[in-house]
Amino acid sequence: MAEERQQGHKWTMIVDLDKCTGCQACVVACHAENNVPSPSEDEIIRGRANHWIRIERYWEGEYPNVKARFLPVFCQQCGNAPCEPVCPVYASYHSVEENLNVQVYNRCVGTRYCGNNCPYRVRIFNFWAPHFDPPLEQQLNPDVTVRGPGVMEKCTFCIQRIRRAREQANVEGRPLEDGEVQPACVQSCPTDALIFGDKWDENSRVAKMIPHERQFKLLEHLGTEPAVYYLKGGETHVGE
Amino acid sequence: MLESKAVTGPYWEQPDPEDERLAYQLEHGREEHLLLDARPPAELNQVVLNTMQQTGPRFWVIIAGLGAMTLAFLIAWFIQIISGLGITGLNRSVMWGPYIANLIYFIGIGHAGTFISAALRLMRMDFRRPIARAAETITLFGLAIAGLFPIIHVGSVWKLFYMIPIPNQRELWPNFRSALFWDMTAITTYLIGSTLFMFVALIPDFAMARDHTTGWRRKLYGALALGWRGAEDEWHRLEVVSNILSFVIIPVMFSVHTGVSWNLSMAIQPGWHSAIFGPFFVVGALYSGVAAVIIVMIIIRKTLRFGYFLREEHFNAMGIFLLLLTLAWIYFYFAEWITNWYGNLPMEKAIQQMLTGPLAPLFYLMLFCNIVVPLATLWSRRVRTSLPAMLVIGIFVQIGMYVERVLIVAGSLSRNELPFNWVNYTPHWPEVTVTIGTLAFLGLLYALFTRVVPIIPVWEVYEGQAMQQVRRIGRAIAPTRTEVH
Amino acid sequence: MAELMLLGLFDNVETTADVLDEVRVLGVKDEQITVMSNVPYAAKIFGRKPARLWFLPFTLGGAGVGALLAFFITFVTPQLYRLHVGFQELTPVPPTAIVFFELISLCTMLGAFIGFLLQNRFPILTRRMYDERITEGYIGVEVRAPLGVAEQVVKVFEAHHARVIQREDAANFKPQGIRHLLFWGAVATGGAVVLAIPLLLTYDVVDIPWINTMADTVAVGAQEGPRLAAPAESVPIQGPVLIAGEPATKPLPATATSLERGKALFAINCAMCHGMAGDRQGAEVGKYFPEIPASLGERAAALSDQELFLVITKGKNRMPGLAENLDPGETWDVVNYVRSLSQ
Repeated sequence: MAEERQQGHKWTMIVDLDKCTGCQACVVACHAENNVPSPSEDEIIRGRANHWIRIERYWEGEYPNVKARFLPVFCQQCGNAPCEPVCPVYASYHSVEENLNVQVYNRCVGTRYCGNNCPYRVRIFNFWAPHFDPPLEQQLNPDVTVRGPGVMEKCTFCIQRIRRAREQANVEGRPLEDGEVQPACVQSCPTDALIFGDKWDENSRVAKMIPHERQFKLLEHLGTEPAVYYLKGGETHVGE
Repeated sequence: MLESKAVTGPYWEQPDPEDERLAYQLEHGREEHLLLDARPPAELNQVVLNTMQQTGPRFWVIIAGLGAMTLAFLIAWFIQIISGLGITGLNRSVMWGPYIANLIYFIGIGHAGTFISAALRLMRMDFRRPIARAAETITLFGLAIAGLFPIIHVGSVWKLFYMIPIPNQRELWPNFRSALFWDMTAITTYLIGSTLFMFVALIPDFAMARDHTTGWRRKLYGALALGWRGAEDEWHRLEVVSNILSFVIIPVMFSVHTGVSWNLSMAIQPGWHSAIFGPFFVVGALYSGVAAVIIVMIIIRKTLRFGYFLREEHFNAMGIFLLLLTLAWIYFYFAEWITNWYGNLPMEKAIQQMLTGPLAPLFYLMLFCNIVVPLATLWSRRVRTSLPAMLVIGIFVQIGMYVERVLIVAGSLSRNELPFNWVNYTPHWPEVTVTIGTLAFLGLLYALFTRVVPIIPVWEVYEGQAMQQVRRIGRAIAPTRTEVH
Repeated sequence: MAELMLLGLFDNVETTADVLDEVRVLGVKDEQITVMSNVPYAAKIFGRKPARLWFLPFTLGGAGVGALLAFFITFVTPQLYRLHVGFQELTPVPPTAIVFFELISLCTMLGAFIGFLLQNRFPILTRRMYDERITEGYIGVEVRAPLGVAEQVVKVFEAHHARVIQREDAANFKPQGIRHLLFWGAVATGGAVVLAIPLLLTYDVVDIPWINTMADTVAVGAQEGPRLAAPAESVPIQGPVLIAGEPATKPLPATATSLERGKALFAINCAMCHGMAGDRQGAEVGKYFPEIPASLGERAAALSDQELFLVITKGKNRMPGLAENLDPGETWDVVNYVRSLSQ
């Protein structure tokens, strides 16, 4: 009954598929911000691409009339997350303050049950100990743990940035402002296809955009109540 | 022994009927039925005890072979812990693979033991008598090895104690809402319950071994027999405690495999999320378990020369049991399949297409092993009483049921809601080594166990023989069972 | 020799039943007779009453213990540490049924087993009348009778062709009594010790350095800022926690070793400006505005420990933050040393 309390913030992302060019800048930014090791080519062939955000590319039509459709998929921060109750050690639980789906790496024993139960397949298992080719280890973000082998990890909506901003606001004795927090992917998106904010703040940009005619949620029929809203792309060009 | 004439001498020294035809029939009945063929317990005790004490070089060669394979499994596991699960073939979509299939498989073969000894005991089926202990031993070691697989499977094995509910400084308890926790409690309950059940039935046999061995064995069995004398009230309490344990352990047995299946069906993964999984897995477990018991019966009959105890009638009965379970398994599999097929939901369709597409060789192998082979053969009494045939059928069923579990676990996972994440799975060397190595480990534990523990519950056989009578009906005789409570 | 113990071995149940009838006629009570066999013969076969059984309290007691354990796991532990998962309540009903079922079953079986052992007074630690031929299929009859009656019983045994007759003074067979209690006491103590050993580990009474692949993460190093406060739902960690705007905790007591370390670190990091005694007798006097305090000890006395910690890590005015040079433990050593200056 996690989402009924209306306590804290309800962090929400909007992905405008009409604006997404599939440039993968968000993927690179996420790797840099969250200390995600780069997988080798071999690992990707073995189906172990470990991006916290991935651009799913689907082809439409037959050659030569083909179109590429891009779908950025990352943790949907479900309100009714299927991954949470299945964890036997509470490594996956729902945070009260941010209303996010949180993964505690130090608790995780690596049963990988959460990964099976995630219909979006956004949970990444650390099959190996993390490795960063020099000099990449020099750019590791000190605010984010480098996760050891054998644990699950996933997109956190850059919770370290959310917490920094909130503490700053606490010190200054003011509420968080809209736009003060930007996850790395949002910050790096050149076309402004990703919009981030607090849905429960009525004046935020996301709260105003959610009742959008193009809005849909990924795999909505599963009832997971994702905190990520997609705006339909394709031939609509409504946002232009 | 005929009818209710007063007898003199012990039950195994009864005179044959005077009528020649009846005497001939009785002679024939003795060849066929273990319980009519009473022999002096002094002699049979020695038959069982000699198999434990006389160990030839061939035995040690087999032990060395199994030990080497077990060592290979331990080394593979060690390498996997050191280098990470990356060396397996698992990937981001197929996060559960053969390790979980092995867990299901080993728990499955552990199911027949309790069913044979507990359920058939309560139903007073006499054919269980010489088989019960051999079957319970599979349960014991099958479960113990199944319990290894979650440990082998997890990524951070050094943190696995977080799953144990004990007070701790972290102030954190395990999440009882997780199906893994249910499964863990169910397996623990079943393992402890089966051990108690087996131990209680072993006490009189330990007393027998204590009385007829010397040296360290006498001391060991003396301690394990707890001072058993076979007094009336001791027997009475043993019967009652066995009945209580039987009644409790049968639902626990159902809950264990249901719990394992719920690990899968509680997930919203297409191909797993099915209410039929509980009973379906229980039937599958009994199916592979009974086949495993048949294989073990053949092996111990051959290697320990137990031709007297394990007779055609026992293989016949087990064959009929296996045939019934084949039909039950087919029913459940078909019910599951046609529901998915008719519903035609995209995800379930994708999984069925994969089974009949890229995975078709495995899928049809499974259908052949689990449906065609048993149905085509087991209807015939000649097949059921032929040891080589039963061995082959048993192995076919093992292969079929193992493939079925791999297809359910790894097969279903390779298809999920977003087609971008469809990844096929191929096993790598650690999975193969661990699977073969743990099977060898089961064999190793079993072989060593038969050196220490009487693998035939002799008192149950004697009980059957002492309570058996033949009754004359017209020109024939028929065995009847005497029951006094 | 007031009483004799007699043991006779017989071939079959018919003879045994006849023997028992005749022994009873001699005035021997049923409690003085024990029949032993290698097969469970019902008491009725010998014309005797079955023994009274006491399984109900053991099984019910076991079930009760199981229910209590299940109640603790399902209703109490989620309250001890409240974490929300998915759409589920802290204690949703359907999963509790499973935990209750398993634990009640487990403890019922354990209770029945313990009941079986205790009712039979197992394990038997004293010598009792026995013959090894009982496990060869012969039926043993043990009779305890006064001397005169015993002679008649022996005659009955002989009349029914007993294979063996053993006789011994009944005084040689003592009840188990205190030895049995001691045995079970030892088992219970041993069990309690075995159960308590994990607690020593989980409460860090015995501290085994354990694998923690994330403690020495590669990202931690020179660039690490003050650690953020742990969220309310997380497992408590040890060590100093620094929260901007909120006081940090004080983890290190001012022991002699801490002061010694603090002095050495102070000499390296601070004395060049503040002077070794905090009296500004360093090389950098007069170069800064505002001026370095003349008496560091006095100045520090006005500040809380947490404030001192923040000043050292974050810096103040022209003083640079020393977070790069001092880890939190070392910073606390320096704080302790600075405190000692004003005493």
